[in-house]
Amino acid sequence: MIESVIEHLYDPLFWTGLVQIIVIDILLSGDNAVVIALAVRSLPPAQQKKGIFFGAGAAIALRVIFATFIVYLLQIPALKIAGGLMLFWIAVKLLAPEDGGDGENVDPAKNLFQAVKTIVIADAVMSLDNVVGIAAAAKGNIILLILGLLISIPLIIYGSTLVLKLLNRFPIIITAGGALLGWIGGEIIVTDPLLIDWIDANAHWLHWGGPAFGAILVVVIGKIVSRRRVGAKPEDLAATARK
Amino acid sequence: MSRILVPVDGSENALRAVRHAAKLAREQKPVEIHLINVQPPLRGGVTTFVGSQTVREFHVEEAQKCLASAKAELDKAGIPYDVHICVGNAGEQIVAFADSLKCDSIVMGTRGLGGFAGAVLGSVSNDVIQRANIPITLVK
Repeated sequence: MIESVIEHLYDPLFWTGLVQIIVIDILLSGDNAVVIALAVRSLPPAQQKKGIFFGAGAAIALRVIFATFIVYLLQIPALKIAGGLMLFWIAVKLLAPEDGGDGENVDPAKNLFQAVKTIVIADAVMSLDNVVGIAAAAKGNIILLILGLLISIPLIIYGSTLVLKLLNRFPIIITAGGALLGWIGGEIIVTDPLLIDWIDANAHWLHWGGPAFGAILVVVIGKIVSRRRVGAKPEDLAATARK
Repeated sequence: MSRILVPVDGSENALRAVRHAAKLAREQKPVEIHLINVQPPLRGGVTTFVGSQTVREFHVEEAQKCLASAKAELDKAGIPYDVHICVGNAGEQIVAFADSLKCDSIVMGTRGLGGFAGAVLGSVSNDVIQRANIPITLVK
């Protein structure tokens, strides 16, 4: 075990994988943190701590469960193609977020149970994006996968507004991250057991062409979709806050 | 009466713009100062799960944190001001508010990136310059 860890330290592929995973974690863990922070807002301070504890715990547990499944699923023929297409979709969603607007008409949580329920449901949806990204970037390397999960934990617990501000300040991170997800999506599609033999024999260039195509595809679609969205109308929240 | 819009985000750059606006208010009265803070919208995934009231409160709370230093600066100088909080793309919202408040100019801080770095890292001041059609003072 130790020897295999040391071996990794000299492997450039390990380090590129790790950097990819960190970027994916930053991009796709922040939302969980924001949901946790918002869901516990209406609770008394003592319960807020409990809510964050259970909420973050659930988010981490769900990631471990999803990750275990996905690593096995990605070995089945055709499922890598499906995973790659899912990554394209996650990337476009990242580049062209739906305007959350005012949010749904959900009442603030009245107790700890309601808050944790909200967090767990949101976690289930949002962890899946993160785990698919990590699993694809880890390329079956279990140490990378575990590191990816570990790195996401502090981001889920402490990251709430930090990630939001970082992405807002440097929007290039989102574009780069979207391109990265597209690249990884292309990469796992061309290495699907259904395609790999044919590609190795006939179109070896697809090993870089596929990922490059994936990266360009999602950035272009993302730009087109986000350009179509109309900007939010100006509304002064300070006015409602004063009332 | 000259009406100035001062976008702030809690940074030192923004505070320099506030000080400049305060100087204008002292030297060439009467000036009406409008502070504005634009909060980044929460991503769609988040607002699906959290109520609208909570999201608004969160935005206002975060905005107040960003506005605190600027408000303190103007309070200390005894200069009256108005506060505006909104959510969205910073450049777009700043110009929309300058328009609806009928401001005569915008005074804003800048990270001073400009050029290539500004284009790559995203510069709110560049964005405002491109969109606005009133005079803009950049304070560095």
